[in-house]
Amino acid sequence: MSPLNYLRPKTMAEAMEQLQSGVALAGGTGLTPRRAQIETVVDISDLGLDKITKIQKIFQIGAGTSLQAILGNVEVPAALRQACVLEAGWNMRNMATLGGTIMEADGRSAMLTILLALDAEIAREPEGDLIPIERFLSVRDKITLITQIRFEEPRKLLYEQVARTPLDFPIVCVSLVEADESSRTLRLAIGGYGMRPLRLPDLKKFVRKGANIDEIVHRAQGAYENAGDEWASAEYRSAVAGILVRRLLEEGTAE
Amino acid sequence: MRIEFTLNGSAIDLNVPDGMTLLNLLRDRLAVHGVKHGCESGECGACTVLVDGVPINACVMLAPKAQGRDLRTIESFGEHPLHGWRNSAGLHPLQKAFIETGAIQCGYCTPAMVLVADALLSKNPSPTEAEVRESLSGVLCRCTGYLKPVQAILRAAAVLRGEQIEEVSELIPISPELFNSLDFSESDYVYGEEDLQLQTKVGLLPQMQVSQDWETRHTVGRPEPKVDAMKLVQGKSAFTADIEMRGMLTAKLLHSPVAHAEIRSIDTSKALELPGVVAVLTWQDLPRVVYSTAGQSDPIPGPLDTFSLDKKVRFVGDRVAFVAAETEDIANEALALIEVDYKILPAFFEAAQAMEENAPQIHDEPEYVDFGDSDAKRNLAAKIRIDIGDVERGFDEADHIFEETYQVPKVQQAHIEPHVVVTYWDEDDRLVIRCSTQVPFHVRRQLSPVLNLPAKRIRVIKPRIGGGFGGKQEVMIEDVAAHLTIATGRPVRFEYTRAEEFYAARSRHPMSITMKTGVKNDGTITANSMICLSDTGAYGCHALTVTGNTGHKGMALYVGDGKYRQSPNIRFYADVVYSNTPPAGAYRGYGVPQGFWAVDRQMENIARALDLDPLEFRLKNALRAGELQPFSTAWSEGREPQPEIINTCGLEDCVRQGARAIGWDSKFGVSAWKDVPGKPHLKRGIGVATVMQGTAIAYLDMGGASIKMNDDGSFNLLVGATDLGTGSDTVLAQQAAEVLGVPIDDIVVYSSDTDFTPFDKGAYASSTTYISGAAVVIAAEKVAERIRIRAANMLMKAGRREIGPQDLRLSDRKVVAPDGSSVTLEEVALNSLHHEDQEQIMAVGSYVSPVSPPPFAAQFAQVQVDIETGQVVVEKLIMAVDAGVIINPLTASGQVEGGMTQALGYGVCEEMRYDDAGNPREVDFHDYHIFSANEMPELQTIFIETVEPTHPFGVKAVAEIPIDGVAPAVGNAVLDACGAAVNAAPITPERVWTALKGSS
Repeated sequence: MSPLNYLRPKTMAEAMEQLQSGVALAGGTGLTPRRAQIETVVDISDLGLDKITKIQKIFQIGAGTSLQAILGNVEVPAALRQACVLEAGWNMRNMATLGGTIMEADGRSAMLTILLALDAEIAREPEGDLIPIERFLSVRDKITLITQIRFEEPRKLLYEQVARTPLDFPIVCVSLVEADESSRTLRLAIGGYGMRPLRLPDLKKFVRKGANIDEIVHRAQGAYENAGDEWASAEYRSAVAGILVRRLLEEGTAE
Repeated sequence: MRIEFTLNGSAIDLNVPDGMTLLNLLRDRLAVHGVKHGCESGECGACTVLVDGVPINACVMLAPKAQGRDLRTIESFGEHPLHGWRNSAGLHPLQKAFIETGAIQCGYCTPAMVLVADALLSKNPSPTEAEVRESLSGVLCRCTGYLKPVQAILRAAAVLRGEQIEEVSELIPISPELFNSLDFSESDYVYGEEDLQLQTKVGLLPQMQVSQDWETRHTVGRPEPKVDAMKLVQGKSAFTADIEMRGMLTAKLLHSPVAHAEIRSIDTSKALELPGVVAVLTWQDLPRVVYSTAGQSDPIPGPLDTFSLDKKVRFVGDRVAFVAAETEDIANEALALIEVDYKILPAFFEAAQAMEENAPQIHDEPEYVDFGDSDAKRNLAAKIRIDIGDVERGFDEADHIFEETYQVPKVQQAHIEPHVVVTYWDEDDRLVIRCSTQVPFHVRRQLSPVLNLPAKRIRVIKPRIGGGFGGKQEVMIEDVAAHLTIATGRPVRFEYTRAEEFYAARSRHPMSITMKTGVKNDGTITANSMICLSDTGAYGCHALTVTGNTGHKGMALYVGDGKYRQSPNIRFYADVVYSNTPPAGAYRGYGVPQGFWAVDRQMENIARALDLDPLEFRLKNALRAGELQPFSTAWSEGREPQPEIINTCGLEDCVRQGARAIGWDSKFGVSAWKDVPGKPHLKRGIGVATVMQGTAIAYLDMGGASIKMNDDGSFNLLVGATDLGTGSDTVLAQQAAEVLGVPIDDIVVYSSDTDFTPFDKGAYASSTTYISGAAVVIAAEKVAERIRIRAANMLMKAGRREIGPQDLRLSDRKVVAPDGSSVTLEEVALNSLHHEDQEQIMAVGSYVSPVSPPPFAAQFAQVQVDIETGQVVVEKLIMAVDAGVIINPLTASGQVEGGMTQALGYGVCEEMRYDDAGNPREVDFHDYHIFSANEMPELQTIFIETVEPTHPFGVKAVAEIPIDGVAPAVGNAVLDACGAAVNAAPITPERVWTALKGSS
């Protein structure tokens, strides 16, 4: 076991060079306990990745922004702020960053489920591009550095979960986004199981009150029909996913 | 790397390894011991530090990240107001408030709580209760239930705003009449803004129906501050790991990765070659001594089936080898270099498989020593067969027979301070074992043969304990460090990680319990039977006694009515079996919570099936004062069973007052109340469970105390009892102070050290206030008598008329004659030590009880159930407890609040599960969820005082009973809400959903 090297670059260029042989360290809440398995960490705290801005309905949250800062920003949609509370207690929220959370979290994450429903985009380096979070989650272990999370301010953002206690990690959770006034697109993500939450596919069309809800519920149930693990059976998850989806759809489509 | 930062106002400039955590830097390099270790992944918050005014967890922050930051720890807050000639500003208002409100129990997380509170109040001087709870959300506390810490922060906020605050002592109710006039239905907000989301009553003391002689006492019955609170609130170096020793090694343990195997060979050569490794021990290096790790009185009432290191492993996490190295990192690296060749054996993880014909035998070692009916060949660690009365005839006489099976899970004590021990040879070549234990004297006695060292060559020191809950009633890791000190000659520190706590410590026995009850049409129970299968895991520590109590308490409460009261028909059969899972052991409640989950759910089912009022049905059949504890003639944890009559039973008042407090009459069976407006998928429900516990182990367990008078009229009270955060040192001091007529400040308490303090069995079986307290009173009365004799002589020499010691009373630091003349205790002390006929006024008391008087309680719960998903939210828990006379309402209510909170986890979320290979599902507080401050239901405590005649002040126990009733009360409330009969705890959403599907 070789001793850990700690690097703290001041510029992005410096960081990129160091990250060729190191792992990005933000809040450290996930990496520090695993430090024995890591040779070099590159602390990105000085790169200025901790800003929250909203420009023309587009939120841009720096990957290094703490969950507590997101919780404290009243412009951020309420469900996303509440997700910060569900992710961790105060101390850890002061440390944990949004970038770190989406790099580390599994399916039992309110934050990841909501970001998936928001269709957030992830800015990454060194590629310098934006990728949808759904794709990001499938290549997460190959990402060098994420710098920003972007999403469009939704018209509605709803979240509901079932857990053993009010603040336990979800057994099943659902987030619904009604995108914007013009398109009225609905997006649903389901979480509580596996390595990452799921987006329900092909849910682009406008859903009027009650219309198509049964079909979407059925689809949600299908998405979790094999989602059994040590925390819950697939039968339960599938049924509850349908229940939560129905609730959110009825709430989301209510005028 | 070199880093610079500010720590509590001082500039720090030093080199640190890049991979060092801030926690290790602060504790190990800078001796900042107010920052505690509770886990390695940031979930518990015991290591809270303010960085630039913001609370963070030091265990997940690399030390280099502190570069340029301003760090603040508890050491920067206030100090004791008395520092000799140097002026002291005293404590910070937050620290004062934590002491005054009883917010400190074990004190391990107290520094963290004070720090987060300071961070909150510095930005928000008038927080709401919800904001206070949110600020505490990152600090897990297993002792308090968070109620008193919330009250402390609200109180401190008021003080800091300059508001006048009532003294805590002014708030105590003084008579049953006042109690009876209280309206419990409304919260009474005093501090902060009214918050409609959460309801914490900020009246600092519990509701009490006090006994008649309450007003005659001056210390007993008063909310005295805890005697150890001052050091705990300052984060002083009071715990086991808070010690620096030159040359101290770090120990690590290699755990088995497989569930059942023989060790063919172990090669330690590579590990020993690693620079910095000082010793590696395997089973081949140690004497082969079979013993039990259960910390119990001699003789151990269980099989001897454990070795410090063995050539066989029996669960994932079992011991394979010990390492001692210069640093923790080196020790961990050495573990990876030990090469072990395992011969894998078949394993099983379910108790039901243990006695199947071809089940693998877990204990086939020839040294195995049976106890009672244990039978290692059948994987049977203990067996109980008790028939009281004629059970079959009772069933024949019944109009209805109810039979059902109930399950309870394996759960963890989850004390925030892990198991920890420091060992070293002292200057007399005696082995010192400084450890976080509930049983220091048992540690010495039981380790003596294991270490091949006479007990007189061992000294066990118990500093403060950061919570135990039974988990430290185990001689579990002390031998590891001791063997390594013997091997190396050097001091050794060994501390479990949080993961080790889950896979290699102890837990509550999981059980499957089948109840069969005969009942007449009028609700009279004619016979009651419990058949129990209990899983002790890979070792049989506490196997017999834990499960014995499942029946001894759980099945004793309902004797039946009419002729059955005089001759109840009760059956309790239990098999306690081995499995290839981590050993179970002692955990607060000690088998009784398991029993009452089954018994009380059964009572609820019967009441509903026969359409009986659940409160009246329970009381109709429950044990009453003047009756025989039915199990007392059948089974005892101690010696031979002997009949015990119940002297006091406040259960009826507990039910009455608890029901009134929760509004039973306006909720139970009221369908309109069950509906949640606008949310047809939600239903409310209300439930009750009535429970009893024991107080100490009759005829067996002994407590001792010594009291010595000092020159200034103060006293040293030395007790072997072990305060594990409960406040037992305080209530023992209160009992001494009451007898000696002094304020509690004049009693200097020390516990415990096998060299200096009298023997005490330790902290378990709800015994300290009662057993050790009686010993304290005996010692105090002896001292008081010597004081009176001497004072009588002094008064007569001073010209008073003839006066005898029997005429004198001790009060207000004086010895007072009937005519009002007096001498001060200081004058008596100076006279005895310096002036004439000198003597050291000093006495020892010891006590063994012939009875174990049970406390009784009624636990109420209110829940909200989502009938579509099965999700349960517990809204309110109220416990009305008859624990005899309450010595200290603050510490006692703290026990109830904390116990209810632990029990709430048992009821709804805590569970340890294993995969098909025996690997644990839970190894941290991420997956093993314990309640945090910002998700708690409303808690309320009511004390119904009775006066137990077998104790000088009338006390019974309060420590364990709070954990007995919550789970069944919640289960009954869920049943009330939606008809879901969930027979397996915890009551998870899926179990409720499944039950609802079944019922529909």
